[in-house]
Amino acid sequence: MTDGDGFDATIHAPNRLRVCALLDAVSEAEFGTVQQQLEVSASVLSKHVGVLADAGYVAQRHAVRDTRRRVWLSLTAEGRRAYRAHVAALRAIVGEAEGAGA
Amino acid sequence: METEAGAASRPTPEEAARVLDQIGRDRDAVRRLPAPAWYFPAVAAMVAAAHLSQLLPSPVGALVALAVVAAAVLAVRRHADALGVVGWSVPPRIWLPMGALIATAPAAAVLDQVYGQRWAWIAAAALGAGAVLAWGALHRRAVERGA
Repeated sequence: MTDGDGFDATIHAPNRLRVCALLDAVSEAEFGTVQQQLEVSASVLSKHVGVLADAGYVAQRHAVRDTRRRVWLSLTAEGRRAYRAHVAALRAIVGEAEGAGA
Repeated sequence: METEAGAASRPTPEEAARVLDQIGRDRDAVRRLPAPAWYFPAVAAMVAAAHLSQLLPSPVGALVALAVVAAAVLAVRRHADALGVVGWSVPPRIWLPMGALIATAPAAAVLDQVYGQRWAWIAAAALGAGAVLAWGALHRRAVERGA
């Protein structure tokens, strides 16, 4: 799903891109924290995390704390590379337009 | 941008700019999650205690240092659980205090072992704890600015 310039259709879906942006800023984030930041339902976030996990971009770690089951999400090395390449592709799209307009 | 379920089409420059702006805000938001009030003072106290433990006679000093490191690990775990994130990427403005924090222990060890300057551990404790508190103050200011 990646073009030659790094544009990645799997990542580009709005909520998936935001999930990747959040996870790129940290090592790991708890599912509930990501859900709160994105202001989406657990089922919606779960669906997008599933797509990213299937693509090998996001890893999930299950942990129990104070009898509460929690899921921690992180970008895999491949996911981090793909996200950063995608952001570079977006910047190039913006930059090309600015260059053409100059 | 595109539908969530379907394949993503390439955005126009305007859409790409909007997307970049949004993900920039998302990254800032996660960096500005407020740390629990106890976190930075507790870590500063532990950094100071780890340094000052070197002034205690052996093996008490080593045992105290080990206990402090174990407490620090627990504190960081608690902090991560309370916050819901682990391992913020460290912004460049933090590099100097972090560098000072990391450099204090070996510098004090050299001054103590080579030159017999035991006071170096007290200075290192103050510097290390100060670096952590400075980080905490910067973090608090960033959170307040983002609120």
